[in-house]
Amino acid sequence: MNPHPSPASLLGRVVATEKRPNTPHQFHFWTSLDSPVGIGTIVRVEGRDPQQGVIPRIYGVVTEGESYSDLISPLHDVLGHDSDPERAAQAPTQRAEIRLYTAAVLRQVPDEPLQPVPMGAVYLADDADVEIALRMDVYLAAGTNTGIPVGVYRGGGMESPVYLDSDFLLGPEAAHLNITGVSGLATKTSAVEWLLSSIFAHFPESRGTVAAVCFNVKGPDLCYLDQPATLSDEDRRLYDRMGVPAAPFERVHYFAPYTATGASLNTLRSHPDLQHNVSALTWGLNEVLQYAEVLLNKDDVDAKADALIDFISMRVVGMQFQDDALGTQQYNVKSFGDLDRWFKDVIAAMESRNHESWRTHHIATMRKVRNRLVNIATRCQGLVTNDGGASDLPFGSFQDRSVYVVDVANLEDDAQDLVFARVVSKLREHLERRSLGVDHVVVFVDELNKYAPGDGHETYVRKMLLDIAERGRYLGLVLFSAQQFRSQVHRRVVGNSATAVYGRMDGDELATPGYAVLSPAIKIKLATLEKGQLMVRHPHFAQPIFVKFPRPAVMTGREGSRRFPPVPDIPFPDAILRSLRQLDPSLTMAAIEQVFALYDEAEVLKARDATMRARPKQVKGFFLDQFGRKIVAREPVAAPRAPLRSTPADDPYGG
Amino acid sequence: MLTTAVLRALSELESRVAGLRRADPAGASLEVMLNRIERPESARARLLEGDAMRVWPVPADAPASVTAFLDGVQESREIAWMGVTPLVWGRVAAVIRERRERRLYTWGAAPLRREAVYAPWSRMTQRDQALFQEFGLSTREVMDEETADGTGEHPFRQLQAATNAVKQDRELLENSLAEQFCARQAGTLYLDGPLPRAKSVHESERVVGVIKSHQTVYATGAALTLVLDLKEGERSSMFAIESRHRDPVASWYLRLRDPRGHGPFWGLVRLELPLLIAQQGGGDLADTWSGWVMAERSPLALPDGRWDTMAYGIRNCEEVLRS
Repeated sequence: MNPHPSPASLLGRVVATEKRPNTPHQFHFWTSLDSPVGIGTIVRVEGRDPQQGVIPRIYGVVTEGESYSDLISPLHDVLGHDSDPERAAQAPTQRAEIRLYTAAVLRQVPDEPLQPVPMGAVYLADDADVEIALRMDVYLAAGTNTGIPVGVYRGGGMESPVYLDSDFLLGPEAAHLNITGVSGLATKTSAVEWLLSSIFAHFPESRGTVAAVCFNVKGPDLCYLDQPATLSDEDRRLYDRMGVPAAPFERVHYFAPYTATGASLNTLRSHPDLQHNVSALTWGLNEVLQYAEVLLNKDDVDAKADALIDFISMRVVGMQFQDDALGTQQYNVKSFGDLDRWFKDVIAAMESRNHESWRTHHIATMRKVRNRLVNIATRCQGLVTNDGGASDLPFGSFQDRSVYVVDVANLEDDAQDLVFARVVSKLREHLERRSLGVDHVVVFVDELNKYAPGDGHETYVRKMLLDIAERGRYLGLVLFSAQQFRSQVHRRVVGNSATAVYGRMDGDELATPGYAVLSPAIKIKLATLEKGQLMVRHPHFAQPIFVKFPRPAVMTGREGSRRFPPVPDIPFPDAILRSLRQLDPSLTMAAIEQVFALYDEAEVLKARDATMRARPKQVKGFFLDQFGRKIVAREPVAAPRAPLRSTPADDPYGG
Repeated sequence: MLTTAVLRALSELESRVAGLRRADPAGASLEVMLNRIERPESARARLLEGDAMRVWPVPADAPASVTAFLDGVQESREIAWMGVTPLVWGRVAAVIRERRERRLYTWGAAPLRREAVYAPWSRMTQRDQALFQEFGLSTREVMDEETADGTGEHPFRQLQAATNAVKQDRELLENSLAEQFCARQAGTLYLDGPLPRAKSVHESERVVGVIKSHQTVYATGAALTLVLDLKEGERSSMFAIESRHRDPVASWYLRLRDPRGHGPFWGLVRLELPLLIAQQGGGDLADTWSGWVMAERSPLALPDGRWDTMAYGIRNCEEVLRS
């Protein structure tokens, strides 16, 4: 009876009965009452009789446990103690009882012939056993190591690192990872942060370069990935054990749209000390029009409207356009403002001639499409610019081991969908052309049940996610997705995630059919997992494995918000100055304040955007040049005053 | 039950030993079959407490003071015939289960176990016996006085003799374990059945024998009525059992459970102590041991059908020996 047996010490013995036989995939064993075995423990069985000259070894993971005594009926215990629980506690002898465990087979060595698990001695698995049991020996060999640490397996006082195969995590063999877990228990976001650190530290050079694009869809969760966390000694020990630096990400770039006013970025990462790697994310008409489908309601925009939008995309936007019906007017539509003017003129021309159609497009369709398209700029204020200018992710110059965070937490749902659709589509386009700058991109999307729900009508975003899930691995486009309720996500999206990770689960979710393969004990364990514990399914693992991962080495959203509080709304001039200071920290308000008196906000914003896109060396000069000579020539013009109304002649109080 | 090895050996032997005919060992054991014809007896016994049998209340709620339980098992099966002589396979085993921290553990290295083919081998050829041993079957001589002189050759008597030999071997194992316990271990021993012959046992006040069956009743007339009317927690006066077949013991009856709704033997056990020890300890010793045995009423020995008289520790011994 040793409470802390050494790995080699005998733990139990395999048993089988006619009613409870062993099979090639499952076996039973008993242990002493104080054995350290628990649900999820990995064990090794040493067979008794050689098979073709080899003593078989079977590796299994405990999936169920039972305890019972020699009592046939509970009533016997009641009778034996005269219905008095106190007397039961004082009984001189405790009944014989058993700890009987059921284990699912992880691997049999040799693999053939595959037979029922034989009777034999059961031992705790050590590091080497865990490696063999999880078939990690296939991809951890020196020289061809493609292992990515996902955490440590702990069982019976043992601790062994568990690795995922990068060929099955990031492609090309398989790809994608899906995480399920209830909110607020540091599972989903933390696990992804830790895994990205692990990937960046261990992804083999022979497999190419890798970067990550994370969509921050709520709160400040991903806003401080470049700031260090306060780690415990135990966390640091785990980082050492798995060979991952306990440090925040070295290269992080943030992108956020502007607020509705356009003055400052719409992100919680607005503290002045953190602005060096925050850029604006703004798109013009050209960038948005090809994804108009994302924003337009299918019921609203029919085939006729589609045809008109295609016509506008191919024949109007970004080129010289002229039409006899519009007289000699030349159009060069580059912005939503230009487009609105174009629509206005076309419709006016049709009305003046009493024509119902123009170039086969009915006037009603024209009106409807105008309404929907022009409205995009309003629905996506801050993201979509009216002037056609764009500030985008650095497609084509992505850097190895870099994280690109797109903060869409404060955007409306439509705008979030637009950002998501366009960014992922651009990633895909570049990866297909091998022109992104890196070979693999991990795209992290939280709240997957919102973007790829299992029910509801087909959306552009869901179609795109399905496409990534099914074909992304060939391109190096890898989806790391997370949600609270896996059962509510489209089956093909989660089904194509080769690696599935589960944190603490909701009981109702576990009751859904998707979890029927799990034993009741595994479900109980999932429903009570502590922070930092995960259950992992991976193509190489025959059964799910429980692992512990360290706290991410990056600052949490809560801590970051405390240390770097977001700046409140500031006056328009101050916001402009703060933007420009990202390019030239020496810039002062005195140097640019005249423009605020001379020009309206739209003109100032246009100049600011142009400066931010150009990133000139002479920031002040470039910014002022955007206003032309007017800036020195024009005097401030006082707003015209309305004349006082004269007193009515019949006013009884008039003088 | 017979092991596959024994059955396989028998199959081999059938073609090598002249006149050997296998028998079907399935069904009830010989112990069960022969007990059916055992005759009950009443016997007078010398009283050790007072002049007449009387009822003594046992002090209530005595602490559980038994530290170990000893029990043995036997099984005899008719497996073959050599002419008119039956061959009986017998298996005996005994174990002491020691109680530590309210849990039971096997005392010593392991239970003692023996098995052999019981027969009057001296009346057969040495070659036949050697063949049995060659096939891994131990042989055990059965000498019955009545059959040895040729007057009792009825096959049932020979079966009875073989079964008695098996029983003796079981008692030997129990005797051996009880002796070892008394010599090496402090604490008290609860024995299932009569006290064994071991000298050290009969010099110890730490061993009690508890008899559940009442084929022989040591009371007659009014004394028998008194014994069968004992109520829960009452014992009879002590009496002496003296026989040429065994060392003398002191004994008394004890009612473990309320017999209302049951027969007069329900919950009734008979306890044995070495006679000399009991005479020195007197009624107080009987009260003390009665209290300790009463304390073993829980947990119940269910599902064993003898649970009204069987201590859980004894059932545990049997479970161990059955495994």
